[in-house]
Amino acid sequence: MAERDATALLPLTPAVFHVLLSLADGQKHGYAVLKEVEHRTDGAVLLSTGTLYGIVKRLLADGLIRESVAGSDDRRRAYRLTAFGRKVALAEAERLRDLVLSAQAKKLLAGAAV
Amino acid sequence: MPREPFHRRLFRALLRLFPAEFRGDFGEQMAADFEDQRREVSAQPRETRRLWFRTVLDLAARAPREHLDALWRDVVYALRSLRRHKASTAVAVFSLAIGIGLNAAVFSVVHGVLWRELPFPDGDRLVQVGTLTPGEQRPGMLEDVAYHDAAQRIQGIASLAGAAFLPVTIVEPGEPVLFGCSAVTANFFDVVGTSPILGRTFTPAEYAQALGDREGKGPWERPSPRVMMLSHALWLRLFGGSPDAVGTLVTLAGGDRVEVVGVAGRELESSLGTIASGCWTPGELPPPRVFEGGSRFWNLSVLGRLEPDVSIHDVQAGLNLVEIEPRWTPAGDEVPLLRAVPLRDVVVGEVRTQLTLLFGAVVCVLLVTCANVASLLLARASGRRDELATRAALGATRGRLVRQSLTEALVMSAVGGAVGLFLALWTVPLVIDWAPTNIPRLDGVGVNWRTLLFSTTAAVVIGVCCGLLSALTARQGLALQPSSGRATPRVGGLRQGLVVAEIAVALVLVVGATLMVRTVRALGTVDLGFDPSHVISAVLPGTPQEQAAAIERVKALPGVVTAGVGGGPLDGGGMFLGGLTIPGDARELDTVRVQPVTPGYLEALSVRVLAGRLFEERDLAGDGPSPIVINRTTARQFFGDIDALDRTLMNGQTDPQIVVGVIADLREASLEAEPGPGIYQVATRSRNFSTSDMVIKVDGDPDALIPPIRSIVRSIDPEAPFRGITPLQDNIDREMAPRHFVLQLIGLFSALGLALAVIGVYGVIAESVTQRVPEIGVRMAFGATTGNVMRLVLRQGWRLAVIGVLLGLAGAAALNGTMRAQVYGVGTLDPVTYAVAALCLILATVAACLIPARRAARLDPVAALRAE
Repeated sequence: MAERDATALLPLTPAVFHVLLSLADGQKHGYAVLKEVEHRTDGAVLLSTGTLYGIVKRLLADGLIRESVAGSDDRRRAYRLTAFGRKVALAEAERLRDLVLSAQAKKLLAGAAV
Repeated sequence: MPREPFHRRLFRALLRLFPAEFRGDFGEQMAADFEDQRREVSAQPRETRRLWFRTVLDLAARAPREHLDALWRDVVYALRSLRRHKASTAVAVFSLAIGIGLNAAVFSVVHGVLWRELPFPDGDRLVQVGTLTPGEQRPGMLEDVAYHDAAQRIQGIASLAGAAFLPVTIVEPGEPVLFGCSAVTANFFDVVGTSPILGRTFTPAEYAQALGDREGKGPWERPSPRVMMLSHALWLRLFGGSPDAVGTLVTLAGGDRVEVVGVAGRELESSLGTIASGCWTPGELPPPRVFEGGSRFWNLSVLGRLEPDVSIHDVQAGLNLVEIEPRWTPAGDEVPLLRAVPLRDVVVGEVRTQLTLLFGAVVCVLLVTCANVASLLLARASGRRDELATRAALGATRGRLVRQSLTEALVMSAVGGAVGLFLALWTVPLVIDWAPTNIPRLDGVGVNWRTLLFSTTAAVVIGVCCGLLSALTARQGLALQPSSGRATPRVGGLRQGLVVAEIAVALVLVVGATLMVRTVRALGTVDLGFDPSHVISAVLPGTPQEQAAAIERVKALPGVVTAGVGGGPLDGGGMFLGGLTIPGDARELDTVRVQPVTPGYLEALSVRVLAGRLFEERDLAGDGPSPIVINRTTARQFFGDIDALDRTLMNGQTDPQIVVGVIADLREASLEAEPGPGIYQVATRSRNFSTSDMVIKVDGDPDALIPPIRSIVRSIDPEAPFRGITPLQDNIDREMAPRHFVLQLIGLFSALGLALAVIGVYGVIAESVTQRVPEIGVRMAFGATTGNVMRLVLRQGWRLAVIGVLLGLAGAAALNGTMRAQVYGVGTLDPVTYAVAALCLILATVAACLIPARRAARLDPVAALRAE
């Protein structure tokens, strides 16, 4: 498959980015993703099943994640990032970092310039 | 299995909001995840409630997006699939565009002419009241007495308004023009609900003055008006649309000057039917009275406005009480009915049946189109059985596959409909241009939101029907056939059925077109009772003496055979006179068309004399009974015999008339109407009317004589209104124009229907040949000749054609009543017509099968067998 441009999908919605983030450190099934996002954000981002699987469907279709044979059982399937998905998540993270840096450069946001 | 707990069932119920496909992919996981979420908070009721709240909101918000998503994917998939089958898509979209486009165009015309409300406030509440002779559509005029009686008795109509016809010649400004003027009662403009676009209507004082001017005058004597309101057209013609027209004085023939007080809106020209008029004057009616000699004069067109919540039937009850002077007809004592007819029906008139027929024909074309498109989709679906079976095996639900087919059909019909709408935008102005001017209300015809709504509805209905049909048939092939691994059915019975239906509908169209062709031919050879060839008809102004002088000068022109003054044939001219009696019989005769003519008139028309003679110079003056010539119908009806010579008719008590001749019936009102009783009087001795038309029989080309005749007319009276000097044949052609128009369109539609049906037949047979290649190969290997093979294929087409034709014949026979008003000189069940149409269809069908049959016959049996 030809090299796809990861930035073409940017910007991601926060929910999509959170789902990608939660899969960044390994495969998870849906419920685990929900819990991980909730904990990581201290309950600020609460995904529901409808939203989650809507996102999962699109990420699968776009080839950002795929089902993991190893982690699936007969009731649930586990998902993991594809290489492309990782690139997209990284590109989004860099985009967000650049935004933060700009905000700091304008002294809008406190913090050392990296 | 124990029943699932409530919360799980509730969640599953919520999941049903999502598309089945999404549910199939993720439903189980969502349920399991939710189960985990719920279990985690199960100890805390408040958290549980919040979880439910959040989840329900989320599912409700998410589900529609998933549906849209699925729809979008279906559309993309459908477009891809349509692109893959370029040829059949092009054929389907093209036929849909033609079918929907033509329907949208005809719909626009039919709506604009037939169904659109009259352009007055609550215009559909306006009715015209008058005597309705059985078989007629337009109410006739009323006499003063009946008008007053009706106004008294009528219920459900607040007030009646009357308009009396009054010819007026305006000589200044501009060229002299003769216009029909309407003298209206004081409430006329209120009843119609219209106000002038310039100036004003008439004041009560002006109405009173008009009434005073009529004092002591006969019923047909009309004093010149003192004020008038111009019609929009006359305003443009005389004043070029200048607002200064109001307040100007115009001069009438004879020198009277009339003040223009207002200008009427355009709608008064297009939407009042026979009341439409060049100008309007006050014409309040005197109290009812019977005029000298007992003869009465029917000249009032009467309008009323239904009160709210009153139906036309309620009004009829009151009208039945109005006593119309009983009149005698040969059928017995028959009183013409006083009827209220919606004004819109009066305005539309006979065009209604013609346009309805046209609409029916174009809907037939659409039906054939639909059958073709459905057939194409079925062919495609059967070609895709393998694909669908695979997809079904891979887990696509049945609903998903049906939806896919539906989307495909809808996308196709939407594209076809959109193209069709553009086609309508382009054709409607063409149709309006092409339509004869005697079709009313064409000025308001156009493509508008109703056309859009109509084509959208048509496209959606066609898309849904065709899509469902192909989806449901395709489903039958979903199970993979284990033996062969692929489905190889014969062309489905459904497709054959569609082709049969196409043939049947096409046959109905062809029968209709053939009937129209035969009607036009029959009308071309109808016995008019006169010979219009080499006859010029001209308007002749002036007094009878001036007319006589003009006739002499015209007769002296080289090339003129003879000439005379009388009503213009076929313009419905002449006057209707009631109150005639036969001495010794107390009853009054039914109204008779009376034409005052001069000697030479009947000769110029080459009428056939059945008994007695035509008028001669000696009839022009004299004492004693005036001589009359009567037509055959009068003789039969009133005297029981053609031999009516020397019998007497009384016009009132003092005006005896003696029959000197009987002639064949002349068609004076229209080509197809059977002539009624008619009487010809000598113009100079007619007590009732003057006449202003001249007919001239010429030797050679009528056109060559028009200029000298024109100069004679002008030399007698330079103020002569100039309405036209035309060959009589032109009037006949004009009369035929709407019928030619409908004929041409129906001919076009049936040709289209036939072509589409042939394409349908060809498609089915060709595909069947493709599918039967192995079978044909086997047959040929066993010794079948090319002739055998061709017969095999042709037989299949022949069978479809015969079934279709039989059904079509039955359909056409069942629908024959709809054509009755349109045909003339041929029965709507005419066997020859039906036979010709059936033969035409069978030949076309067999011709369509020839190409696939020849292809089958040329098959190489070895290659055919190898294909298997």
